[in-house]
Order: sequence, then C-alpha cells, then structure tokens
Amino acid sequence: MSQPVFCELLDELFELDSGTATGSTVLKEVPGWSSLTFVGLIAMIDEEYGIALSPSVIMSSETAGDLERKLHTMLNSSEAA
Amino acid sequence: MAIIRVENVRMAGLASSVPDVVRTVDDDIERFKSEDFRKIGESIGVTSRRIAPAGVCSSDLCVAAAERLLEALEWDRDTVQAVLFVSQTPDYRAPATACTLQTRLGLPTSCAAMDINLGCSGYVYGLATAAQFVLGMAGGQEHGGRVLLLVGDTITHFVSPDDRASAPLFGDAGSATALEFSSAAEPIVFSLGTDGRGLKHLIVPAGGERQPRTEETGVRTARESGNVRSDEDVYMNGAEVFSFALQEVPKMVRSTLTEAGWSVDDVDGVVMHQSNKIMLNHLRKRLKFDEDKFLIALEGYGNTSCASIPLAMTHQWATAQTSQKLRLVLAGFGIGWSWGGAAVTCENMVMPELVIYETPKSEATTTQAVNEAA
Repeated sequence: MSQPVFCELLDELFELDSGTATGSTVLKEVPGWSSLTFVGLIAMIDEEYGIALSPSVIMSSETAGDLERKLHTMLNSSEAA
Repeated sequence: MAIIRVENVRMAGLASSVPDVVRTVDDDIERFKSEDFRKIGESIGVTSRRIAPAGVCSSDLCVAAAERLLEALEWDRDTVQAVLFVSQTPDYRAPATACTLQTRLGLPTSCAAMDINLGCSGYVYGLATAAQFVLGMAGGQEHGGRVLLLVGDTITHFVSPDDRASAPLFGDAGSATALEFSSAAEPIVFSLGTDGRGLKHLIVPAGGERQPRTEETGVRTARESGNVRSDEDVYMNGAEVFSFALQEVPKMVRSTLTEAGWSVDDVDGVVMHQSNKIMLNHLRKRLKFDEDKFLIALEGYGNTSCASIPLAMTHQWATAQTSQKLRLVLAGFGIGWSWGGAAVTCENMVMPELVIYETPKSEATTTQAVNEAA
C-alpha cells in the first residue's frame, strides 16, 4: 500500500483547493477548523493510517508537518513491534 | 472483556416512546444566530429531536412504553418477577425509581426492583442483567422468570441550550423490553468492558456527593470555544469520545461476534448506540458491515443516551408482531467510559409502533407554576 500524502488528505477533508495545505500549515488556522472537522480528522487518520489517534496528539501538533511526523513515528514503531 | 453467555432466554417484546415536543435545526439556528447549524445537523444526522418538557421524567416515557408493550404481549402483570430501570435521570436522588415503577405498572409486591446507573452502554448492561434474572427465577419453566427492563433518559434536562457541542445533538426517549425463559431461544452473548479514565471527557460534574450543588455550580458561564454551560450541565468532549469509540468499539464488536460464533455475514442487523452519524458511518466502514444492515436512526430523535438502541430497533422493525428471525449485534458505548456488545437472535418479538408520549396538561400547568414561583 502506498503511503497516503497527508496534506492532500487534509485538502480533501477541509474541502480546500488541491495543494493548499502544506507541511507548514498551522492546523488551527485551516479554514473550517472546528470540533466537527476535528472528529473528521481523527476518522480520516484511522481510515488512511489505521491509527486511532488520541485527540491530545492533534492538539499538541502545531502544523500539518508536525502531525504527519508523529503519525509516521507511530507507524514505524508499530511495524517494529 | 467480560463475556457472559446466556442460554434459554428470549426477548419477548420491545416498545419505545418519545415526548410530543419537537426541537429542530431551525430552533438552533435562531438560538445561536448561526446558519452553521444546518450543516452541523446534516453532519451529525440530527435535524430534529424530541424533548421532554420539565416535569416529564424518563420513568414517564418508560411507563408509556411499558403499558403499550404489556397490552400487546397480553402478559398477566402478576407473572412479572422483576423490573429493572436503567437511567442516569432518575425521579429522585432516593429511592430507586424502579420501586415506584413496580407500583405504577401494577406489578405484584413479589416483584424484584432495582435501578442501574449507566448511560450509552446501559441497554446492553440492562439486557445482560435482566437475562441473568430470568434464568435465576424461571426454574426452567417455559415463559417463567419474566422481567421488564425499562431503559430511558431525559438527558436534555442536563444539556445547556447554549452549549454548541451538545445542544444540537441530544434528545429524550424511553423504552420497555420484556424477557422470559424459553428453551427454544438461541444463546445470547454479551461482551462488556470499562475504562474509568474517560470520566472527565463526558460528565455532569456537579450535583452528586463528589461535588454537591452550590449557588456557583448552577451558574452558566462561557467555557471552551465559547460554549456556555454550568457544572450541573453535561460536558462532552466529542473528539475524546470518538477516539475512545475507535479504540474500543471495533474490538468489542469483534469479540462479541467471535464468542457468538458469527461472521459479519451472519448478522442481519447492527444496532449501535446512536451517538452521531459521523461516528456511526466510520465505525460501520471500519467493521465492514453493509449499509443496509447497519441502523442509523438519529434523524428526528437525536442521541437519546441509553434509550437509543431500543428506539432504533422500534424505528426499524416495529409492527404489531414481527415473525422474522433476526440475528442482531447490539453495541452500547460512551459515558464512563463503559461499553457493552450483545449478539442476540430475535424471533417472534412483539414490537408495537413508536409511542408518542403526550405531555399531560396538568404537568404543563404545574411546570409553569414552578417556573413562575422561581
């Protein structure tokens, strides 16, 4: 399975023009960020990465890039285990 | 997970009821002065819900459902040996509401009665408890050990109308389920679990012994994201609830299926606690259930706490008498955190149409008088 491209998924989730979100996009400043999209983001990550993420991981991520790195760390450690 | 396997107990019937007062997305739009609520309503799958006026208790909704059910079943009330009441909105701090239900329903004094304090997982826990009562009391006699399980909440009485996270979501409902001994019944399997670390994410903090009511606890103030509520209102962190559900619900459902020896294809219907449409759709995909087997019955009712599973069943299958055999997976999960799954085969269940509870005129007058006095 090819790695999903996190920023493309963010664009899709928030209904943004393709290429809008980048690694340096601040999550809380994404247009349409709300508690409901927060839930949508958890669902999307579960679907694409198979990780049931704790909301605190998202809360502690400043940018899309920060969150993506955490996801990859989790994926690698679960593969190692 | 705690597994309970029960042989020779059948669900004989089920009825549900909702209040006659409706609140809609348009009411939310007006209250919050924001058109966003139309989109929110669509996302969560709730465009209107049923609200119990002040003075109408969950027990009232449950009694309405129980009366209709007893009538449809034609059970002699003297044959009922226990009444269980599952709710987080009891009539009194004490005594147990179940005791009042014994009298209100005209059940014999030989009847056992008790309350169970659980929310979204409560229906499954109630069924598991009721099934044990049936077995214990029937003495192997066909149609023996009859138990009435009343499950309902008026959770909107704990919802601040100015809390965006919960006001558009919750509704009120009651239900009554009848169980009895039957040697022909297929086994029921329950799979139960708890994680009390979820306490702070879904809670009514004040009003119990841990944080008694004071003048301050009743004052509604602006909290996170501008949501206005008091410590006597329910607080819900939707993202935490969702994260918990993702961790536990698929495991629970799989464990329930495994213990029952069922595959996903064996299941005729999946009835989850009707939390919200986003969460339900995601859980459905994750568990690979077909859309047509997976009930989503929020529209018009909202999230009705412990009553949502029986209400969804009534919504889907109510007829005077359903003879179809249904292999159902029930899944309750939420406040606690507490969760319970059940694999149950329903056959020849009596399921009356949804009961619309009419608010008594005198009730409205009393409520008005109380409000005026305050």
